[in-house]
Amino acid sequence: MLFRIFSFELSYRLKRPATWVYFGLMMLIAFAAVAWENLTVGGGTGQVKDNAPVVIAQILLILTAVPGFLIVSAIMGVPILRDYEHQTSDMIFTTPIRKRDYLLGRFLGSFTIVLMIFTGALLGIMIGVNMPWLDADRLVPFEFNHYFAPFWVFVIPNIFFASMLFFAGGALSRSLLFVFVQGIAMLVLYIISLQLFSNLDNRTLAAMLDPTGFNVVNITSQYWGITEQNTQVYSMTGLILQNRLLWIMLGFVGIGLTLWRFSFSKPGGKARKRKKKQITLGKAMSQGDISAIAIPASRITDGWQTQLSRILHLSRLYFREIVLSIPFIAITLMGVVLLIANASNFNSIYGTDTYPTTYQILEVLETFNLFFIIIIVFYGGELIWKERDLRINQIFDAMPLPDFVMMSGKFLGMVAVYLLLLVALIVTGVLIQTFKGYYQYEIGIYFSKLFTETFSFLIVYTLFVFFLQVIINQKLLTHAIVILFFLFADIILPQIGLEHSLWQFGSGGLGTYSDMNSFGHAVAPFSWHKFYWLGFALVLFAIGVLLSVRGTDGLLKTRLKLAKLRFVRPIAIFSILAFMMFGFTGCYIYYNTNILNEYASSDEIKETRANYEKQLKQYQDLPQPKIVETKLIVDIFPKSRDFVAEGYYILKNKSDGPISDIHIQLTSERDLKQESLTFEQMDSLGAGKAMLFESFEDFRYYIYKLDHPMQPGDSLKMNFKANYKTIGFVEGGGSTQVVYNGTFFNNTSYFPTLGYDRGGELSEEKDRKKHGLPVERERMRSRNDPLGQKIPLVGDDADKIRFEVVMSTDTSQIAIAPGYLQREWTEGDRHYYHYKMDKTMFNFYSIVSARYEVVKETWSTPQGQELTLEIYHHPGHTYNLDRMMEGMKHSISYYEQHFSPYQFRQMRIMEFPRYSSFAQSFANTVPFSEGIGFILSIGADDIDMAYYVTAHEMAHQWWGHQVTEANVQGNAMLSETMSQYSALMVMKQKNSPEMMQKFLRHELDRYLRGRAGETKKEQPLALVERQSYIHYRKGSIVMYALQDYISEDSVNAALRRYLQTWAGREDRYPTTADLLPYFREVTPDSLQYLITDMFETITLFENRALEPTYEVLANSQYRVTIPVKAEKFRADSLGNQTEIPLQDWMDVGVFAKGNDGKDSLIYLQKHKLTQSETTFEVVVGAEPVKAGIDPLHKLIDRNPKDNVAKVGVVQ
Amino acid sequence: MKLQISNLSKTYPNGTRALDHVNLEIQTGMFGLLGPNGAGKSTLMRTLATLQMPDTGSIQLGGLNVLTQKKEVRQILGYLPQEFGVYPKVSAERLLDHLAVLKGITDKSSRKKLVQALLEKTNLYDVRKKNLGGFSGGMKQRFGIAQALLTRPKLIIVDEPTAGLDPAERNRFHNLLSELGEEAVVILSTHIVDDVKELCTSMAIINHGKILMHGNPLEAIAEVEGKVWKKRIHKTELADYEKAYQVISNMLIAGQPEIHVLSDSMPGEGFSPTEADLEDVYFSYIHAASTAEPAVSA
Repeated sequence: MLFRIFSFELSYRLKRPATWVYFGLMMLIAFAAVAWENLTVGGGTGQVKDNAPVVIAQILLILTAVPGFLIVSAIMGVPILRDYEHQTSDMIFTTPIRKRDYLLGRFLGSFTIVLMIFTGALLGIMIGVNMPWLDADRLVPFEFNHYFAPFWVFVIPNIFFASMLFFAGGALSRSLLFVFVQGIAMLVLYIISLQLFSNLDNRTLAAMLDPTGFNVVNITSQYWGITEQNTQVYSMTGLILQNRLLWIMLGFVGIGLTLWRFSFSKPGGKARKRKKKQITLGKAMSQGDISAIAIPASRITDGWQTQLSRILHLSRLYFREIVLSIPFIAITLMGVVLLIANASNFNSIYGTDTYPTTYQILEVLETFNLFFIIIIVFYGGELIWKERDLRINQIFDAMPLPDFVMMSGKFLGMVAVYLLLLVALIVTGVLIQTFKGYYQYEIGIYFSKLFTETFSFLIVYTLFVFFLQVIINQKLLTHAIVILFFLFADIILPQIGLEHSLWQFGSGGLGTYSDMNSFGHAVAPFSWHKFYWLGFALVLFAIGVLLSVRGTDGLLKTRLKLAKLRFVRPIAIFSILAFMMFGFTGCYIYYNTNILNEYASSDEIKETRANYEKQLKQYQDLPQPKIVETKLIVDIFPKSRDFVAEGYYILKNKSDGPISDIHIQLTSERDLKQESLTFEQMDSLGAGKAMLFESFEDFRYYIYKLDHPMQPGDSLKMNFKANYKTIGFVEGGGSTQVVYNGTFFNNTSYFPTLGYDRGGELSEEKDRKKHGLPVERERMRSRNDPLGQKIPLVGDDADKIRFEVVMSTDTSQIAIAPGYLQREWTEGDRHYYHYKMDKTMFNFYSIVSARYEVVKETWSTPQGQELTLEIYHHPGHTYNLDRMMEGMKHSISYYEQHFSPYQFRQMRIMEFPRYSSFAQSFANTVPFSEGIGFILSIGADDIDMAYYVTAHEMAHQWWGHQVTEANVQGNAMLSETMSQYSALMVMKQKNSPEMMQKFLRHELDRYLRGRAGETKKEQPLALVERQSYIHYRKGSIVMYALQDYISEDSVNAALRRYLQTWAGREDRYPTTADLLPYFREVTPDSLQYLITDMFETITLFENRALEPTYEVLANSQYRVTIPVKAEKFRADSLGNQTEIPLQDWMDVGVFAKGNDGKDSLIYLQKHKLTQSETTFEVVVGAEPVKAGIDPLHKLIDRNPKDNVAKVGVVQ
Repeated sequence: MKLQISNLSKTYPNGTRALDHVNLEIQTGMFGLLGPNGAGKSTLMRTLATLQMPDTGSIQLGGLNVLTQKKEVRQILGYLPQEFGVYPKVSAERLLDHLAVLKGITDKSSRKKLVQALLEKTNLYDVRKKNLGGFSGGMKQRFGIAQALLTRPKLIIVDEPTAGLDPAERNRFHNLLSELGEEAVVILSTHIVDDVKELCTSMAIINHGKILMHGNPLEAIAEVEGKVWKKRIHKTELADYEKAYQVISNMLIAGQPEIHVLSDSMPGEGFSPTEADLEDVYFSYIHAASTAEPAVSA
């Protein structure tokens, strides 16, 4: 019997066209994902090949989720439900089949079909990767297991669980809606698990909670090197196995529940309901009574008030229909649950949260957009089909309504729902803030985002859905098309050349909110774009009205004919107005982005960059004079976002030969007009006038020829005036450097530079290949390049310069640049500041202007130097000023004590808007982002990020400003790694070892994840090529370990010697090859290998504790036996590992229960390991609970958790 | 007011000829449109109710062109479709009120009175607060009538209104309809001959999209009076009789067929004359139409 039901189900499904449509769809998307360059689904980047096993697994996982689960729900939700819907249930249930056979037969039949459909994805990929047009360099050789393994490990369990879930839901609830709600619940669970994943401690939990397997994939391969990603498949072991087992088991629970609870005799859901609600009438009136009732005549009106009244009535009806429907309530509740789950951590940096300010809450509320999309798609379709679904359409259609009334009513009904939800979101937001103890609600900001950006998104997409529903006139097909549009439009449109925001449906956003600059200059382009799309949507609305189905003719051809009749005056006027709105705003946007301002597509920009390299690379090493003095007048006009910079550089020929050509590179920012650029003779012997010899306007590169070449030692004055003028708005939002409040830029952004700029070249291999450039391009000059050794960190325009600037800004703002304030005065409505640096400094200066409150303190360093410490902050952002102030003091004290005296008399921190999240160290000046310290809510258990960032930036005054490194491979180790080290040492004085451990654990995680995402090659630290995961993250770990091994004093002594030797030199700048000997000098012979391991190679460990045991000795002593396994590897640039012999000292540690209940170390000693498996025996004075090797994770280990293990008792 | 249908034709994309040069003139009063399932009744009704466009032809209602002046027609139209649903979670009163607004009755107090009167008239007043989802077929049908009467319509179109009603409901329904016929053109489509017999002063028979007969029911009956003969036969004989005679209908009486035969004189042995009724008229036309074509060619 089972088999007959099974085969019936199978053949029924095989005959359905939907089955083959799903199969084809799966195959097509999978094919396109690998074979179509324009579509990247979970694709490889950099060195990870396009068909690497991890990529295949990602593609399959994504396809399993979307559209996979939708397909599963469509198939598995109905096998039982179908019998109720078609009312065949009574017929079937009265036959003598057994319940188990019926249920299992249906389930297995449908599940077999689902399996078949998903093999479509497998086939699609396998065919796709073999397409001849694919670049063979981007592929790994075909291996069947790369495809089969993820299918077996992920796809089959996933669809099995989902099939069970939807089958059980459909069979037991007998409602498709319930299946639908189950689907959303699964999505919510996934998003919550994603949220959990962002916290290091919760990753395992997140991996288990996620039925889709995405998280378990992430956690498994998060630290895989490039080669592993290209060769290794996910196997059914460890966490993957646990996750899979959990969900498969839950699937079995589902089917068990179905077998147990399902009953043939229970009537279907609908019938049951009807019975309960059946209404009976009282006794009928007599015929006479009925005839006696007169129907009063009513006045029929038909003016515009009538239409309005009709529309309002309709919208009320629809509003009620939506709000009272169960899926709506379910969607909304789940959305709110998700919001609350997401509100558990805000924009966390290293586990430290920001305050739940209103704009942070708004970012959390954006998660709800997903639910808005579901509501738009689902209810947009429902409303258009409402009357037809209820079969009351003929009554409505015969009402004397103008054609636009129904659709307007539906639209306003949706709008009313949105308003309700938006208000509910605000209430949720305010509640979240309240529960977190934050009471500055800023309701205005809630409104200014939700009722503009979100609301317009809702309106435009609703009208779009209405339009499609009308045109396509098939509800489910339209749902599918709209969902595909949501998923792929943003990806595909730009790829096929429709990149301009005028093409991007619904484009225009308010961008980042900053307390300092609010929504800034995003408001104007945002508004224009919104009116543009609203106009477009209203045109669609008009077409929708004209073509809407009224009456029983649904054919588009007939409706087109009817539309002519329906094109009455009001609709004509409306259409014309809507079209004018669309056209006019479109023209205005085009006028702004493409005529007032310059627009270039990304292809054009790449082309320009390619040509730049082709034409001008020849000048890369051409000797140019160096800037030795800069004097500027910079007038900033915040209200209009303009500035004028006028002044001069003094250039000096520091080369050995004469220089006759001066190469000037201007910024590519077209807002900046170079008004003048002239050269002036400095002395009678020197060079004279210059003339413009060659212009490369495309690259804004100009070659001037001097009348008399500059001889070595000669100087030349270069005058220039640059005018930055904001006109209208630009495509893509425009620069956030010059803003209404919180302008911050540095000289390299806008001021003229000298010579060819390597940074302008195309860096991605794919682009270089396409434009015929040599594919191999070194990211940096080699460490031994003598030319490179003469170029300081910030570029080859200058060594050190004399610097002076007069700035002016609005009277409401304060303007700040490096140097000391000489004079400050007000003239009219302008506020002037004159800054001058009293010693030479880097050619690197910041220009800042904002409305600030200032905290100022005079403080003497322990060395007796008097300093002023200042923090310029946004009013109200006072939460962490003390921490920053303390950070400045502690770090300056430490650095003065261990390295050298601080070279300035002042230090200033100034807040800038959170468009970027960094802080940057200029001479006596540190601009510090609003987002990474000022609004952090730092609790006792949190890492004090404000303090850490301050200490890091302070350290740059030494590592970078006092001793400047050469701009070659490894350079960032000298500035960034040393600053990390310095900051760690400052933090170590204040924080517990556990807190340091917590910080380092984040650093290790980021390093290991960073190397997994490497696009070119991983370098050893000493040869780092601007790879932040190496110079910051790995830098922290190895330097912390180094000072642990050879002592903090030794490291500091080495750094001090290095600094004394190299500080202030301008003839040649140090490289890591110059620093490392100082480290070697202070390192004992037995530990010399550390320098090699940490700096010169990529070294990884795989250490773990095997089963440690203890026995009780006399006098409450315990002997602990700790067997360990340690392996040491060298990795190449792609992460290929080779095991190397051990001659290493490592920590062996034993933990006991401390007084506070936490484990604390009672034994920590370094032991030498010479072989992979070693057993240690130590005696401790307390009962051990855990023991192991390298318990504090000082060494880089991809699996740090197994370093310690529970200690067992020996009987 | 007079409804004039001229030369109306409609062919569906699948080739079905739903209306074939239909010409009808309908005066104020009850008009019955009789025809078997699939005869084209509903197509004609929907076309009259402005919900469908014919391929050719015209419809004139008083001074209005029904095909182009839809809004004006809809203002004086009361339409009860053949099959319709309701908003299940809305009460009868609320939905009726809502439909009244759509009809253009914007004044709140007069709308309230109207809705109350209609609910009383259709005997739904007691359940006015109840959600329509719980209504029985008859109650739903009465609700349909109530909404069709919202604006004292001049043209009332009721499509198969009594299908599925029990005899008592059907009776009440007829009473209501007949009241309406006093001041409006009421077109009732049905395949139940008794409906027409009981209600209509004028009628037409339609099949395969063609009007087979148009006139007064009583006159139509008079036309066949004396020509209808009946005979009770054995089941096995039915085929033979159908070959030999113009059998317009057969029905089972206590398990044995009784056939009606149309004939100017006594058709044969065992036949007895029977009083003609509308049913015989109906079947005679349907029968004639279905056999006419081969007959003409012969």
